[in-house]
Amino acid sequence: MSDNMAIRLQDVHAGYGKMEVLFGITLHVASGEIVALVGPNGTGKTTTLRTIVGQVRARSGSLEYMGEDVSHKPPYVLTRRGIATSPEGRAILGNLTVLENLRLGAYTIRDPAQFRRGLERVYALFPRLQEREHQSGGSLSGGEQQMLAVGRALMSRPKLLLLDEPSLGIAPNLARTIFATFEEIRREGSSILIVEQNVYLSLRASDRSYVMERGKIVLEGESRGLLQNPHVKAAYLGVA
Amino acid sequence: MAKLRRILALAVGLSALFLVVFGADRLLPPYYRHLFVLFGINTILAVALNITNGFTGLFSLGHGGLMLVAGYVSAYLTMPAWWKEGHLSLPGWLTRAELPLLPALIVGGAAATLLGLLLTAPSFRLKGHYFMLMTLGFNIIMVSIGENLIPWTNGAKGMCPIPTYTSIWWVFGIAAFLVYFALRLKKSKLGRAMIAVGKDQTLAETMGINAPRTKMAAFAISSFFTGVGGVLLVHVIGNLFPTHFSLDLVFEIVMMIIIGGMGSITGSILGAAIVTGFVEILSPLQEGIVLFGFQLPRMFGLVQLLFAVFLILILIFRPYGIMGERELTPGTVLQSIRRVVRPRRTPA
Amino acid sequence: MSFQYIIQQILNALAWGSMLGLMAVGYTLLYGVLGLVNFAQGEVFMVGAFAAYFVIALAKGPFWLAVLAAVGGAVVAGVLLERVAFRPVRKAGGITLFITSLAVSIAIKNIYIMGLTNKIRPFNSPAFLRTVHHWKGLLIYNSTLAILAVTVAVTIALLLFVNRTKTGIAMRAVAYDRETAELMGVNTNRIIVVAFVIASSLAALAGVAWGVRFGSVQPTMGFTPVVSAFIAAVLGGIGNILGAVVGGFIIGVGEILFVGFLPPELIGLRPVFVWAVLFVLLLFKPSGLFPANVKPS
Repeated sequence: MSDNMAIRLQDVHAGYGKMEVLFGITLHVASGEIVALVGPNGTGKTTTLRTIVGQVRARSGSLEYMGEDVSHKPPYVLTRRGIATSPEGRAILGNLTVLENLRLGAYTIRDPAQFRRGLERVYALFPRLQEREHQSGGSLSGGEQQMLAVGRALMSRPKLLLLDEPSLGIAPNLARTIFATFEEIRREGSSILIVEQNVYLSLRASDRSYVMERGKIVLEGESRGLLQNPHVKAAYLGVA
Repeated sequence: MAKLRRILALAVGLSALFLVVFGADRLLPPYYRHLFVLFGINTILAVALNITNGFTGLFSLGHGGLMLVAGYVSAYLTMPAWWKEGHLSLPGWLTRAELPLLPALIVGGAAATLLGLLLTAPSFRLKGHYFMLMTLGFNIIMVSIGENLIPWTNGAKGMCPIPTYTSIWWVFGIAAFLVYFALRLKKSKLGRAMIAVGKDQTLAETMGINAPRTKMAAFAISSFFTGVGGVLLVHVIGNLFPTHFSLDLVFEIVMMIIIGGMGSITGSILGAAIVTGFVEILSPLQEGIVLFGFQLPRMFGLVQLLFAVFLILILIFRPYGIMGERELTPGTVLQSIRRVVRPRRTPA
Repeated sequence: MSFQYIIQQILNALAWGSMLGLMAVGYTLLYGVLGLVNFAQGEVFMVGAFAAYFVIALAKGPFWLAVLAAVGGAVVAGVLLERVAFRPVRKAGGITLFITSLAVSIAIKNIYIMGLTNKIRPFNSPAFLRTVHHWKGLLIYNSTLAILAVTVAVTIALLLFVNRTKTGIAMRAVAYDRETAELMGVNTNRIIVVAFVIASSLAALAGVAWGVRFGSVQPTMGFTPVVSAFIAAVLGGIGNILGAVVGGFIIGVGEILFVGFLPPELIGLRPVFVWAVLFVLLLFKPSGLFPANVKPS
């Protein structure tokens, strides 16, 4: 297996208790790529991310990170190896301040100088966070919380950044602002896997995409090409 | 058809019980008969506790206090006037009262219920932990009041002699009634509401269940029968010492429902039997006996220790107890026998 | 009731309030991080006190060694309990955890009763702790000042730890949302052990304080502070360290004042005060006086 593969899933089946959600998912993200996973609500996109990160156990199939099998590792191990997540619903720690949330994102960073550099980078990307540095996470607006969630994930200089529904519940221009940062993030060395309901934004922002329906991958390819795909246009871009 | 079967099962069960109790009453030597009566009372206490802890998810730690209240009230109503005259300062009509068991049971149970509800009232609209804490506090202050309000309770010296009205028939009659009542409750609308609240209160509320009121109903029913159990107990052992109803007793009954399975009525019966039996068997060990030719020293606290360790092991390895939430009915017994006799071969 | 009497009572109560405060912080930490109402804290407290007692009475060691032994013994006990009794049942929910802690408490207490019998043993504290100052007609015990000083120092240290260090922030994160904290790379098992270490150390200090203040230790001593300390933790707001300490003082001083105003034959009614506080608290402000540190449900 080549090790320029950030993450590779092959024929992964997973679910919750007796409920199967993923039926043989095969996808990969190469180093330096921005990949989107789109599809309707409830189709298993979040479950896919949770399986990658270790919150959900894969029942069968292989899960490789940087060429190494990680299917049975707990989440904190994967984070320490370089995967960072901006989870569904943002999961901001409301009892901590913005700065403390970012500090937590940098939990795996030991070098204080590296921490400060990371902080500067995040503040450069999202200046609004610096303004609200000492405010409690729970008091931020939805859009600010999303910025915080992404910023927090960036603090650990991840090799692979997982973003779950970053545009959900946010004003469209703010979503565009956040999506516009992805190129910059990629330039700084992270691969990105983004899970989204907003198909248009994510196809525009990514190199390749997968379309997922009812727990299976039904389409994949270059994002620019998929934007022209008749099924995609009909099912997801009709109401742009 | 099902109703006929149910009546038949009831008739068979009652007759069997009648025979057992009759036999125990006539045939058992006094020590074992006493133990059997204690088992009956423990059954009442365990089943009553299961209604709050097992069904409704309300972890009560106050049953000692409830028993204490009911015990005192019953003692006031039944003890000889001369004793009350000499030791307590109660109002005249109470001092003179010398009633039989039935009114004492009812009033005692009612008093326990009222006081219990009153003193834990704020906790019903809150989460379970608060109820636990409130009932713990309730138990502690009841024992404290018992020990200190000497004009009303004779303090730690206790009340003695209490007329021994309890007979094996009273105990098992009430126990049988309670078991039947609890089994029917489990299937009734109120019972299912209780179980829903116990599993997930928020979900139950979205389904239209009034959680605080359901919890209060569960606690009221449970308290009444716990009080009844307390009255029966003091009228069997013939005395009432407040320290008897402290956390150690609370823990003992909790053990019974955990061993039996929280949520299973028949499980509580099993649990009561096991705990009552073990306490009796193990008690002599504490005194220092000769075992295999070795003289074991007096080790006070050994029984409690063994019980505590046993409980920890159960919680780790078999947290649902013997029965889990299921009931032991003729159907399930036949099922397990069938499974032993004819094991199903699982497909390769 | 003269003003001086009241002041004297308050002064006397400061030591007791400190002990309750230290125990309350332990409760609030463990409840925040694990959802565990740890009834066994009383026994960890007792284990610490007895470790100090053994150093002083049997090994005839110096006081500082006794304190060290107390903390060491309590931490060992606490960490052992976490690993053996609490971790296996962690998934089963708060009530099972509580019953486990109840069983553990009874087990430890009875081990000590079996091995040592329940008699009261004298705790000899060094002379400087036993001196009393007279000031404007009031008695001020050196032990009170010492215990107070230690409590304040420990509280400040803890607050710094929880607000400024990475591990402290991680602990607050675990209390709020364990899954997300784990996602950030926090090893929640390790954090929980840290919480137990802290809670046990605090209980040990409280145990030594008890020995110094009341001059004796006994295997059943754990029961006395348990309920008061837990109510103090609830009063202070679950998960809030400063709240727990303040709650401890409020309850401790309140208890002593309450008892001071009771007629002598009713002193045993002391638990009624604490229960009444709980009743009023749950009636009007169950979340406590200070902001809580756990996710509002």
